Amino acid sequence: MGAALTAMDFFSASNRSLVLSLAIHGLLVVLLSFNLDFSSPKPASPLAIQAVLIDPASLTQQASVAPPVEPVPLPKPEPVVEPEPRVEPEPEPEPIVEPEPEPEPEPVIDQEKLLREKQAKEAAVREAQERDKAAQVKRQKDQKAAEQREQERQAAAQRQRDQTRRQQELLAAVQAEEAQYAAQQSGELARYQAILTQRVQRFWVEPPSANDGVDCYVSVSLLPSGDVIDARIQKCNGDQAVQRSIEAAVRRASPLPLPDNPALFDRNLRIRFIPGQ
Amino acid sequence: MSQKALNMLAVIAFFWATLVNAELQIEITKGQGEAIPIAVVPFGWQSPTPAPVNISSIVASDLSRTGRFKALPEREMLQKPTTSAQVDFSDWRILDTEVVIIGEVEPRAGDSLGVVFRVFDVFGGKQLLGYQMTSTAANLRKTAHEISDLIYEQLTGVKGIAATQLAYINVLGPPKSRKFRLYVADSDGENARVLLESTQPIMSPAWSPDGRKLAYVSFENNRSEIWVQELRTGARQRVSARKGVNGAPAWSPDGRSLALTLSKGDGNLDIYTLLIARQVLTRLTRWSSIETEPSWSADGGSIYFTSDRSGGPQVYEVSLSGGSPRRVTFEGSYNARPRISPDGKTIAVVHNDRGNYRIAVVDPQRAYTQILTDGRMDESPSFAPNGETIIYASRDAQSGWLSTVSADGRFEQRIASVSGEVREPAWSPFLTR
Repeated sequence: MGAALTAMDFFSASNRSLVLSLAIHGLLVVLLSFNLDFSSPKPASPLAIQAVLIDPASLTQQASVAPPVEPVPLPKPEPVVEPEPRVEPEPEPEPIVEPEPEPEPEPVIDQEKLLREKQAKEAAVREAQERDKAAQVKRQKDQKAAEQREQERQAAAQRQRDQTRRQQELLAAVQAEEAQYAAQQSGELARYQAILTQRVQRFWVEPPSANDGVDCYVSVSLLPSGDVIDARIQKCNGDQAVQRSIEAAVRRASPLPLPDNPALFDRNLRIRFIPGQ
Repeated sequence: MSQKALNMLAVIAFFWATLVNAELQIEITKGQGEAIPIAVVPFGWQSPTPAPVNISSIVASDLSRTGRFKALPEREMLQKPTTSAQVDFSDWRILDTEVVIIGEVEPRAGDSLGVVFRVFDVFGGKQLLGYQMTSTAANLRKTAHEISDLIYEQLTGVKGIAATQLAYINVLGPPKSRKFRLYVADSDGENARVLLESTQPIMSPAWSPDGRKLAYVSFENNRSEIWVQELRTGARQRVSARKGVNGAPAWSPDGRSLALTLSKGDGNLDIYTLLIARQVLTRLTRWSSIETEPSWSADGGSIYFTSDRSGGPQVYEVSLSGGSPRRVTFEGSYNARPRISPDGKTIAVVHNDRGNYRIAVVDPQRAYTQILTDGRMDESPSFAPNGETIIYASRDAQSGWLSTVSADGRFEQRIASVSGEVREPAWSPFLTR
């Protein structure tokens, strides 16, 4: 862009789209690189310079060198959740089988001893029960914690997937635009435009009032087949005869030819009629 | 943060896509369509007696003759609706017909006829025009021409000329018993009627600006005289019978004066104006060369004429307010009989194109000459009042005929003519009913 370029030139219809495209490319480059550099924070990149970097190839390159699909810091390598320490079912406390009372030689019963033994037995059972209960509580607690960790892990993974998907979609969109841009640059667009122009021209019968100075825009809606579903005069300084002739030409030209490169197809077409230019 | 950036990216991507979508644009600087494809469906006729005229065929040929329309032959029509309800646009789209015209004629009280017609925009799927008119069997041809003009104006933005008329001279018979006739006919050459018949030459018919009178040169008294005749009554008045040549009358735009060529006593032709009612004569040129074929400028402020003062005939312009004439045509060795276009911008002339006499249009502002015809002996151009078409006379060794050519030279067509030689056509102004 030389210094000789005036603002008028710059924003003339033919340039405006390019400028917009360049500006947005620039912004994208900035944003993408911002994300890429996220892991190793640097001083904010100089925006102005980045915005000038609009070689359409550079974006793709950048994408292939360091796929921008990974811009988000990976969630901290979650320690692989230890397999829940398998709580070995505590061996059922053996039913304390009371030893067969040995046949006492003599039914001389030591009451006291009996009582002690009984108490000890009961205490042992209680103890075992309590142990059992504590283990169960711990088990439950551990399980709950594990579940929560798993949920968090899954949510994080989902977030990661979403983000990746969105970024991939975005990249795909950008790449589609790149393809379109490349096609535009390569002259395919010019060829497509020429074919469209030729087609509509063939059907336009200029009325006598289509003189120098007449300038009309018609916006055309297309089906993917090229069929014209609508043709509307947008802005037109021509008389009623001019307007009718233009609408009729566009509709009669239906279906409009399709581009060889499908990336160039656009459902919305704007046709400017400037007779005598 | 990254979420935010993503959202932002998404927004940008969206707008970008929108911008890119709004971008595909093409520019059209000229139409290559030659003519609007139309269909004039035969009009319905609600009567057991045969229709007096075929309105649809008159309309179709009126529109076709302008070169701006191409009428679908009746045999190719898939349907022949006579009412709105019967029109099926898809049938006409298949035929790539842009405009369909339908109509009906029905007898009314007495001998009057009601004529209804409608004009449909096929691709837009709507009615553009609809009129109801009253006519009679005798006037039906005129009504058809009026219909043509309404349609023409609707579709081109320019006033139509189908309902205008032509005056011309017809010469018939072997040299010893030749008959000269002054005719007035419809713009399509039909409906021709004789205004004056003579065994002596009749020349240079010229319409008054109101379309009610014709001035012409008649040799009926064995010398050239200029007469003015009313069309309606046939009443005639001799306005100039001066000594020598009295020729080439041309009406001023206000209709009060005629420009003439007179030789007076000295035998040299010069241009004069004549205030008709008071017989005031004003001399405009004083050269020793031949000055003739005057024609008024559109604004009435000057007169164009042919002079051979530079050797061959060329067109000059002289102001009525005085001053010396200035030369207007420079291209080629022969440019004669100037007729000014209604908008005053161009001049139709007879131009010698490598030995052939052809009709050309000169644009003095741009010093540009465009040759419109390709005959060998084309003469007497006359502009239609809308400036779109020029009528002229052609002839070969055997006969003569009238042709029209569009002012851009794209479309040429012969006009139906009477037998014999046809000369000096003059196109009428717009006529009021």
